[in-house]
Amino acid sequence: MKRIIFVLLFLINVFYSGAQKKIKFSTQNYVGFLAGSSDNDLQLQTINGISFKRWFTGIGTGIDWYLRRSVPVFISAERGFQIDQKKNIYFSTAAGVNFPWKDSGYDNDWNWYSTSKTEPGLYLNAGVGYKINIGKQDDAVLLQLGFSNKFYKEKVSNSYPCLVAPCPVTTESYNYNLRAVSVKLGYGF
Amino acid sequence: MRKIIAPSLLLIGIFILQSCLKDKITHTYTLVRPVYKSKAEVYANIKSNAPRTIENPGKIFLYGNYIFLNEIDKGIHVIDNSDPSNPLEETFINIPGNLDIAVKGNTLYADLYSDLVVINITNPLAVHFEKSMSRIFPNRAYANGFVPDTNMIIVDWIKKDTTVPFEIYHSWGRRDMMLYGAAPGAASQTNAAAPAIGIAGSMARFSIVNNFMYCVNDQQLRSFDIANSLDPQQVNSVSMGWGIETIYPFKNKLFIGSSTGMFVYDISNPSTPVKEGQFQHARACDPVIADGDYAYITLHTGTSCGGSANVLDVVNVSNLSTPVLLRSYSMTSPQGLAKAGNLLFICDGKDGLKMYDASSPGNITLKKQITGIETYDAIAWNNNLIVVAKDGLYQYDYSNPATLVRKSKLSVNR
Repeated sequence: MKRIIFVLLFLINVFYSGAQKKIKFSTQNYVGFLAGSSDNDLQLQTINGISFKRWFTGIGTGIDWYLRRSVPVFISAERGFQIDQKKNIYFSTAAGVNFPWKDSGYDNDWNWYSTSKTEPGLYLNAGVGYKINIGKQDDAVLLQLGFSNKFYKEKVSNSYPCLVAPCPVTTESYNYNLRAVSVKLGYGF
Repeated sequence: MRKIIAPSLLLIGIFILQSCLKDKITHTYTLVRPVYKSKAEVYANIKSNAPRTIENPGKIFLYGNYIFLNEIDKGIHVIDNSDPSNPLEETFINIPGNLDIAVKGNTLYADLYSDLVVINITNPLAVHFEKSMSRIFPNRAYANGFVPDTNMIIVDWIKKDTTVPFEIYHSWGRRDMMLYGAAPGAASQTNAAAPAIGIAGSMARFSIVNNFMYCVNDQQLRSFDIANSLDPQQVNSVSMGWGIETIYPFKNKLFIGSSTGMFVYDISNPSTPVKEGQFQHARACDPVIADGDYAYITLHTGTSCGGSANVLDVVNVSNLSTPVLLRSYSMTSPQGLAKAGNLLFICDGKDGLKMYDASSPGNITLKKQITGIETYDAIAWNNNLIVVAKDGLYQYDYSNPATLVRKSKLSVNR
């Protein structure tokens, strides 16, 4: 525990004691494609935070359409390695919470027999990227290949015909652990 | 050449990694296994057994000083209500598959899944089985996919939670096209019925008028001659379409609630009900009661009837051949209802119990609302309102039309 606290204090110290000019706001915005065993679909992401030397950390969110639309909210950390003046390779990790979108399929007049409730789960992402600087500033095109892992739970209640309330209701639950390869193309600075 | 190396590696990586990845989805559901008994065993057990806790209360029937409270699919609680402030659970009659109750004199009629059973209640605390009539309610199938057997009856279910892997078939389409199998799959104080017959709640499917009993199932209205109450004889059956839900007698008419409307049947000739009028409404569950020139219909969604309306419809039935909607009142999830004089009681689901001044049916006004209970059905009789709720059987004094005073509660113990 003491070691963890020490490392955290060290990192904070590094950020705050570093030359102020070197800490700056950075953003990464991606459109991506997810491919897995159950679905192939799109994702949109924006990550906003600070960069320091070769490091970038930020808070991200977006929309992930893989199997079921959801909104992940996560913290991302990245480390870059320079290839030449214009090109970098970077390694990225992210962890957060995956919030499933309400399924409108369960919410209409005719689907009276089923209701669905979802619970958020873990969101993980890891990848390796290729960054090409464009222009004179730090503007860059980003291409990333990664792995996306999102979790959520769903409870489905089915009501059966009856004249006397409460009608019999059966409840079943689904536990989702969804894994997909992600290819993302983005722009950042 | 170098320009295409990076994209090529990416594409190769995608397909290699994709073959290694597999979503892991588990499906947890409850498996049920029926417990059977022979008909002889079941009939032998239709008697006054020791009282049991109320777990899943259904319909109610008031007969003299006794309340007969249905325990859904299990039987009937016999409650001595001589003192409404202190009701006593006296006995329990085991009737598997029971939902409905009616009483005339010394005879209790109840459904046992698709059969009708006749029970002698000369001594309400020592009842016994008299007779069974088969397939009176043919549409009443057992739950959970099991169907009635000619010699055996399901008396209970053994439940067990099971978790299995859940497969989603690969498709380039959307999820909702891929998840195969994800979703399985009142009585009125002015009621014409005499006290010797008893009073049913508005959700009843049985109704007794003099020497005839009328039962509705999903599609039919059946008439039984019960002049000899212990030996009823079916004398007629009328097809009525589908979605038939409740029956309510008023004067020489039967008001029948269906999921698409209200039907009025004339029983001047009691053995042969004749359709006299009809009022159509949006698809919804709808018990109905009548009083004077007006019928009161509650429409609710959220269970099995579908639709989108949660309203009280007040219908002018002064001309029974052409009932006319007087006014609709917005509700939350109205179910059973009862009327006593100018007071209208509505069980509005999770919104509790509501008492209205209905002296002007076109402009009813809320006098009192009791929240915190989820109510289903009610019987109003002799200044005593009996209410079935999710958490128990309540009784209220409504002698003061400005308020409702709780007399007692028999709690549910799940």
